[in-house]
Amino acid sequence: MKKFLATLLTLCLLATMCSLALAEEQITLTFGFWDTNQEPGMKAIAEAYMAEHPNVKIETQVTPWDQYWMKLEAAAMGGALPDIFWMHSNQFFKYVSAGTLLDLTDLGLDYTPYPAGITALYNFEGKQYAVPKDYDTIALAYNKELFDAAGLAYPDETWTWETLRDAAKKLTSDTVKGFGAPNDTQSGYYNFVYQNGGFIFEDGKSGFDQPETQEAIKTWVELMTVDGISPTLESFTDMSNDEQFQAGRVAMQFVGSWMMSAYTSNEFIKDKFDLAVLPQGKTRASIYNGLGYAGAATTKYPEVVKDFIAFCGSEQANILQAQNKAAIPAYAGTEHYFTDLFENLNIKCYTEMIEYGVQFPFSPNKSLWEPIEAETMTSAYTGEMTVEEACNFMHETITEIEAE
Amino acid sequence: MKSQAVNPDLRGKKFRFKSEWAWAWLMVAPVIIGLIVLNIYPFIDSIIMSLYKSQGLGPAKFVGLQNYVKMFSDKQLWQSTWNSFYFVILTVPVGVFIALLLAVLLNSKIKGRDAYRCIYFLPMVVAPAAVAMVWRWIFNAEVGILNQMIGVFGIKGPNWLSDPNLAIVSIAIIAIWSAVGYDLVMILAGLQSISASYYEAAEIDGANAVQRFFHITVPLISPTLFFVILMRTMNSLKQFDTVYLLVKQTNPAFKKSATLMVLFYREAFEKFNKGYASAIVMWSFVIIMIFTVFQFVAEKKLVNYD
Amino acid sequence: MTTAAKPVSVNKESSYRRNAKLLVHIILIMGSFIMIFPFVWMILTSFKTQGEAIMIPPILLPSSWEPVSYVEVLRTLPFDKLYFNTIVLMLARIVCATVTSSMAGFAFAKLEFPFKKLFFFIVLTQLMLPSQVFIIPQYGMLSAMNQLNTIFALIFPGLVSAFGTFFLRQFYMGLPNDLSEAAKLDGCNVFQTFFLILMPLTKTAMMALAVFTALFAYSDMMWPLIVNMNIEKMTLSAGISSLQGQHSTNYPVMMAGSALAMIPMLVLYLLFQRQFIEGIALTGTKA
Repeated sequence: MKKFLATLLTLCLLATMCSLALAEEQITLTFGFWDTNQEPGMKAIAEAYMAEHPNVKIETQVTPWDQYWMKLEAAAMGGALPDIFWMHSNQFFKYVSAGTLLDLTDLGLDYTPYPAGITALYNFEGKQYAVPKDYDTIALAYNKELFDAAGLAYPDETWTWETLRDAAKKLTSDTVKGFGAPNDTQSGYYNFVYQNGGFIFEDGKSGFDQPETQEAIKTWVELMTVDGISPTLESFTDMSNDEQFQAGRVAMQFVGSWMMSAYTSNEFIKDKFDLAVLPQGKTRASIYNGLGYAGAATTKYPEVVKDFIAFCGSEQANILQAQNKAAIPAYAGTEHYFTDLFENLNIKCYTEMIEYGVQFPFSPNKSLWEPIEAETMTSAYTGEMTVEEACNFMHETITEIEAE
Repeated sequence: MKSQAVNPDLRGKKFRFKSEWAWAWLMVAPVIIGLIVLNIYPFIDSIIMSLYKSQGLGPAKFVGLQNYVKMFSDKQLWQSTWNSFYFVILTVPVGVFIALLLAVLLNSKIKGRDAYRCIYFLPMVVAPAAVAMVWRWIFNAEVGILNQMIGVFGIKGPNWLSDPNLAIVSIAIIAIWSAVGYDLVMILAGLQSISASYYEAAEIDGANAVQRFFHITVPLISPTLFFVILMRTMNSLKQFDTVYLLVKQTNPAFKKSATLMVLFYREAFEKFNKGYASAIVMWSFVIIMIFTVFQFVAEKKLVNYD
Repeated sequence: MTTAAKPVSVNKESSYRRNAKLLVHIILIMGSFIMIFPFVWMILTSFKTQGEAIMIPPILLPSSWEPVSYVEVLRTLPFDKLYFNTIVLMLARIVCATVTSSMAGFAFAKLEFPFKKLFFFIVLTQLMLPSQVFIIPQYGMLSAMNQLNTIFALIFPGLVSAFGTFFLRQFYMGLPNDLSEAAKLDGCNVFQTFFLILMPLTKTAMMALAVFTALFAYSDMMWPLIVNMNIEKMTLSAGISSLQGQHSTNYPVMMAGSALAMIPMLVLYLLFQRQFIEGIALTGTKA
């Protein structure tokens, strides 16, 4: 009996020790991001990694965009950042300058497959803090049905601002507007600015004082206020440009690649629209931006985190991401896994435009002036200010904010 | 009730147990300690923050009263202060009156009372996204229900959510709609504590419904009503979500609709400008406090605590 | 207006009463339409396709009544865990709020003690501040206690309730002082006076507070999203809001989730409703 008990005890002890040993080896990492539509893609990447590394468990967490940054800020201050998380160009400077991001410079990754602008975006003082995840560009979407009804030829790469305006005029009727020109930056007037040879923010300087910038913004605003080919500001308040396009109330719009999975799952628009490259001004341009995978400086397992981020940047992970229809993968050569998912749609124009794409402007303090820009441009639309006045005001504001 | 049992000699006196203070402190202790830790400490933190300029996540820089100077010289602050006042004027009297009316109706013995009570409770548990969708449709200038109804009379309806003078009124309507349920439940709870014998007595005296309402119901639920009005005023001054959701910066009505809390939220969570945002919190705190003090003065005169 | 309506013998009066009742019903039914509409909209949307959900002008009825979105949302979200967490959160907050607020509400209404005004000002201060001010400091406290990503973290900001304290104070203020004085004469100490004599009379108010506490806990999606990481530690509304995409949201799925999430709140309210009706018979306090 005693012997039996002793054996049992030993067995129990052994079992506990074994499980302890296992528990010690088992590493759990948290992986935070904001877009629920991309959850399947992120989960697929995590699972592929876990299959290769059975001792690592990666927990994915989705927090909607509106709460994500508040959560990240609270977490950064409380020293509880997720081990791995998505980073956005507007927020990068804030996190990196506070030393909250893990230095990924010694990852030994080859950055040539990624768009250079996105790699550079997440580089701070010569060190790399995030690995490019994806990119998006802006294209011209048009409603084929409305073009057919007006007897017009579909947009193509020969289009210029003038062709755009002329076609939009012909498409405009009582119920339909030819082109949506909302108060929007990334899928709005920023494209015009760079097509016109202007800039928004470069080398620590605001470009709002540049005549090219002002001229481009003026042209954009006047599509609504003078040409009358765009829904009004009031109309955009009630229904966004995207909503109006999907409802067939707007015949053409500039639209980001991120909307494609939504458009193609809307049975009312999916067969009626197609895409073309953006019309050109003095030059060609399309705003692009990209997210990055970042790690927390406070993580308990920096080596594992780096290893996982390197995996996220790999061709294999980019393919997984693309196959889940989430976003255009950053890794050159894997884009077709994404574009192949969209049949009968000229989706390739998104990846073609990266050639002359312009990185979405960013500055260390962009979060401070971005809301002011939205408000100031509203005044330019309503006529409270002229476009020149609004631009000059923005120039002063940005210069002042960035100087502090 | 049973007041006759009390010795008349003792009734007027300040009759106290020796241990009353100790008991009182013991009974308020959990709430007060909890509030100090959970809320007063963050509040003090905000006061201090309002004297600093925040720089991202890094250490903040002491700037003294600079945030306040900047804030008071911003025209939008005064506009927003007015917007908040105006919002209170638009929502509180109408909202509380509707809630009171409905509560009285739902407290009477009418058919289907339980069903009504459930229906009026629904807005509080319906998904906010559904609420926003429905109101956006109702107020949509081109295809909205409201303007289609107006259109029947050959009148072109206004831009409910983008006309600078109208947007805040539209938002007030939504705010009243979503608050009625809360106020209704509170007032109902107050009505429940009125003895039916009062109404029976009044009925025998020949008082009509309106007289009964003003002479019995209103005085007897005045403590609850005071509470409801005070809370509604505070919440209206703290109003944020509806405005934030429906009036974006690209809306021409933004300046004339943004309440103080919208300004605060924009500074704190869009611009991540904690110091300046804290200064706005202090300013709105002062305003809410002024309202509250006024209401407590009014309470002394108007509220009937038996 | 028709409170405590009793059959009165005069004929003229009763026909007036009938008309009044009709008017009351008309008002209530019209109000019901306005109140119920978003709920109906939510249910209708939950059966629509994504395209139908965002159509302009809106389409009223879905083309099919297949519960596709319900299947989808049950597949995406761990509803069992979300229900459990939400109910635990509600119960914990209800217990904390009603117990502490009853005691404090009574003390503020019926007792005199030094610093009473200061303490009451603390209660009001909480009510006068926007809740967003508390988020980051409270997060810091939980982080320091190593309690992030727990059920306790969800409960934490609701351990005490300034709203409840003030609400119940108003009810205790309304109770006659004679009652407590009589109790004292009978030899009750302060706590016994509170616990045995007065507290039972605030039953409806406590029930109302319970419903409010539950409602606040139910509708707050910001706090769980910020303080907890894992979907298994989320509440219903937080879980559902995580269905919101950055650029596009699948509204039918979101509405289906919201409809399922409403169930515990409605059950709670129905139970509370009962209490209201019983409450009439039990409280005859104002005499």
